[in-house]
Order: sequence, then structure tokens, then C-alpha cells
Amino acid sequence: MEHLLEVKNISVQFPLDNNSFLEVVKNVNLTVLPGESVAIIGLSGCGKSTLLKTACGLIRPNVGEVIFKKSSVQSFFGSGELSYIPQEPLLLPNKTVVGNIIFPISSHRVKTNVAVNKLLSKLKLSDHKDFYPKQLSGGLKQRVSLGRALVSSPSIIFMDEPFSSLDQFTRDRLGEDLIGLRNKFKTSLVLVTHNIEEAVFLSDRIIILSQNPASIVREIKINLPSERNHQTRRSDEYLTLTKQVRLALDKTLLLYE
Amino acid sequence: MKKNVFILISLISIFVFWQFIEDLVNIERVGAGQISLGAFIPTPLTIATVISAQSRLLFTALSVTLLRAIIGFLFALLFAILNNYIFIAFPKARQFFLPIMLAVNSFPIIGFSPLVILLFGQGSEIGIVFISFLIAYFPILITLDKALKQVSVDILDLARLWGFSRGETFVRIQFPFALPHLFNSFKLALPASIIGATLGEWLGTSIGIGRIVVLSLYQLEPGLMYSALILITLSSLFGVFLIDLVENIVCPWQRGK
Repeated sequence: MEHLLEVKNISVQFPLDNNSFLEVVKNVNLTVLPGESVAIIGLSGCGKSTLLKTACGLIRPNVGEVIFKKSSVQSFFGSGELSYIPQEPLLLPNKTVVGNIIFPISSHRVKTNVAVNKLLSKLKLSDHKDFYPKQLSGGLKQRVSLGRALVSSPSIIFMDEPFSSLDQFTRDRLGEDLIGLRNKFKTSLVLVTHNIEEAVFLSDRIIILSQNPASIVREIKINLPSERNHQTRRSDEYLTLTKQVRLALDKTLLLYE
Repeated sequence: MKKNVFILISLISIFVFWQFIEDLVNIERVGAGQISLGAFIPTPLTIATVISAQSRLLFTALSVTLLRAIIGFLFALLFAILNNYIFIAFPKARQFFLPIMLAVNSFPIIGFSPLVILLFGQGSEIGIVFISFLIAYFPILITLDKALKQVSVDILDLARLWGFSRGETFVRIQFPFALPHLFNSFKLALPASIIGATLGEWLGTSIGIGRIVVLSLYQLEPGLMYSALILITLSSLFGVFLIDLVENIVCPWQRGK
């Protein structure tokens, strides 16, 4: 199968005040297949978000390139092929739930074949469609953010710790819904998280990053069925994988302490 | 609405209290052979009588002053929005001009009066509008600048991903975000522009509330002076009420804040 996204040997440096540079990401190679979920985990501040933003083209790497569908990732801006879910839902306060969800496709540049009403129903937002963001709970806001990312029927969604501010129960429910939506829309996911359980549940492959600068130290294949629900979390395979990832992360931690 | 009724009740209470106290003091003073306090501070009833007797003069002057103030205010609004757009499009321009603008803002506007006379001539319409503009411009400029700075970088990243141009991002994301803050600045800027127009009229004009205030001061007509001042104060309050009303229509998501 052809790769959907190819991150080719990228390095990212940020300029410092004293004419020097801070290398945040170093020599990272990463590929994502169509419909595949990849979770990137690492310690706080290790450069996960920078890597994610570089992979979706929002940060230009100092070295290397990011190829999406055989072209530069930036050439797909405005096409609706790429979606990004930031850590905070960042909804537009002046738009209702529906207004926020259709906002990316309201510029007439982005075309979609997603029926908004169906999407609202899938996200369990039908009863709240005319609500403004300030009238919504954190979980509902995150659902709207998810809907906004899905509305353009993207090929890939980049997610930066999207559920980190939510309680465990809401986080689990949203994770299950996300897996369902991914399977329905055949969308690839690239997810940054520092939650091991979330990474195992949501991904097909986990990438562990080192610290300062971030580079890939380990890759773990997640052999769970593509259909996942709350029972998956109780399965032996899931628990074994969670333990395996925790051990790998602990090793990384020891290595860089 | 409840808030406005409360303001109205407060105003009426102040006027009733003022009338009662002054009547009481005047009886004592006249009884003791002293000049009535009404010679300096007329009672609300005296003011009402003057407003009724001189209504043509007062309301003509008020309409002229308000027109000058509104023109100054609208120019301030237009320039503040335009300036902020330039600041966003060219951050270097912001770095260069904003400190200068803040320095000008800290300078008392009355200090500009000689400069205005020198530039536009004594009693010039443009001069009066210019003072009104100047006094209203800075609150709008600074509030809008602060509000636009609060827009999250992540949402601006999303706008890039959605293929929005800089202008589109400003109009569709940043400006609506800043709108409630902008309305708050209007509540400062509109009364300020009315003060500015009145102040400008002091410098010399044939008609306007400022002119009536100065003339009634020299001709020792406190009733007329207070009438003019009360009319201009009530106009400011009405202006703020109107802004509140428009804000409720334009920013429905802010209702019940």
C-alpha cells in the first residue's frame, strides 16, 4: 500500500535570543498508511507537538520534507484533506455548534460529501446544534472540535492531546466514538498524547520519542482489532500492550534522566 | 433591560435627592439673609424649566455637538480597525507605531488644542471633529489590539490549514472574536468623543453645547449651563444604552454573560 504521509528525515530548530538555535526535532522519519492510526508518545516538552505541527505542514522543517499524497503537505492547505485538532477545542465563540462544525467548509473552497446532520447525530450533538460554545461542557466542546475536523471528510487528522483536559469517563467515551468515526470515514489519525492507555486504544502503531531533541527511539505495533469498544480495554491483549508500552517508555525515561 | 431600568431609577433618585437637599439648604440660607444656593447650583426643577424655555437653542446645539461627536467616533472606529489590520498584516509596523501611539495617548488631549487651532483654525468644524476623533480613537485602538492578541495561535494555524487568506482570517475569525471587546471600548469611546466635541467647541464655534457652556459661564447663567451639561450627559448615557442594545443584536452569543 502507498504511504499517505511521509515525514522524511526532518529536523526542526527554533532560534534563540543569543543567535543560537534550539534543536527540537532531529532526524525523524515517519510514514502513515491510509486509514492507519499512529500515536506519538513521549515525555512532556519532548517536542511531540512540534513534530505533529511539522507533519501537518504548520511548521516548516529546517531539514527534510513532509510529503502528503506525493506532493508537499502545504499544497493541500484549504483542500479539506488535512484536519488538525488542537489540545483545546478552540471553538469560535460567535458560532453555534452547527456553525462551528461547518466553518471550515463555509469558505466554498473546501468541498465535502459529509452530511452535516448525520455527523451531528454520530457525534451525539443533534440536541445541542443551536448552542453556543459557552453553553457546552468540555466533552461536548471536544465533540464539536472533532466534528469540525471530520466535516471536510479529510484523509488524515492530526490530533494534539485532544482529550487531555477531560475526565477519564468522557475521554474513554470520546475515544470509542473516535475509533468508530475513523472506521466509518476511513481516515488516518496521527495522535500526540502522553497517556499510554489512550495511545494503545486509539492507534495501530505507537512511536516513542526521546527528549531534547525529539527523535524516534522505539516503534510498537498495536495488534488490536480495528473495531474497538469499552470491552477492548479489558482484553488481555490491550493490557499486555499497555504494559509493554509503559516498559518501553520507562526505559526511555531512564535513558534520558 | 433590568440593568437599564435600574440606571433610570438611580438617576431619578439622584434628581429627587438633589431637589430635596437644595430646597432645604436654600430655605436656611435665604432665611439667614444669604444668597440662595440656586445662584450657583440650580435645582433640577429650575434646570427642567430652563430646558423647556430654551429647548430650541439647547436641542439645536445638542444635535450639532452630537453630530460632530458621532463623526469623530465613526472615524476613530474606522481608523482603529484599519490600524489593527495593518498591525496584524505587518507586525513590524505594530512594533514601531504602537509605542508612539501609546505615548500620544498619555498626553492630555487639551494640550493638543493649540495645535488643532494652528492646524485647522479657530472654530473650525474639522478641528472639533478631530479632537472628538482623537479622544475616541485610542480606547478603541488599544482595546482592539489587546483583544486581537488574545486570539489563540492554534486557531490561526487552523485558519491556515483551512486555506484562509490573512484578510479572511481577520474578518471571519479575529474580528468576531474581538467584537465584544470592541463594544466595551465603544462604551468608553462614545462618551469620550462627546466630551471631545464639547471640548473642541470651547475653543471657539458659533454653535454647540460647548459654546453654550462657555457663554452661560461668562453670562452667569448657571441654569442654562447645567441644562447643557445635563443634556450632554444624558446623551452619553443614551449612547451607551444604544451600544448595549446593538451589542445584544450583533453579538447574540454574549447574551447573559
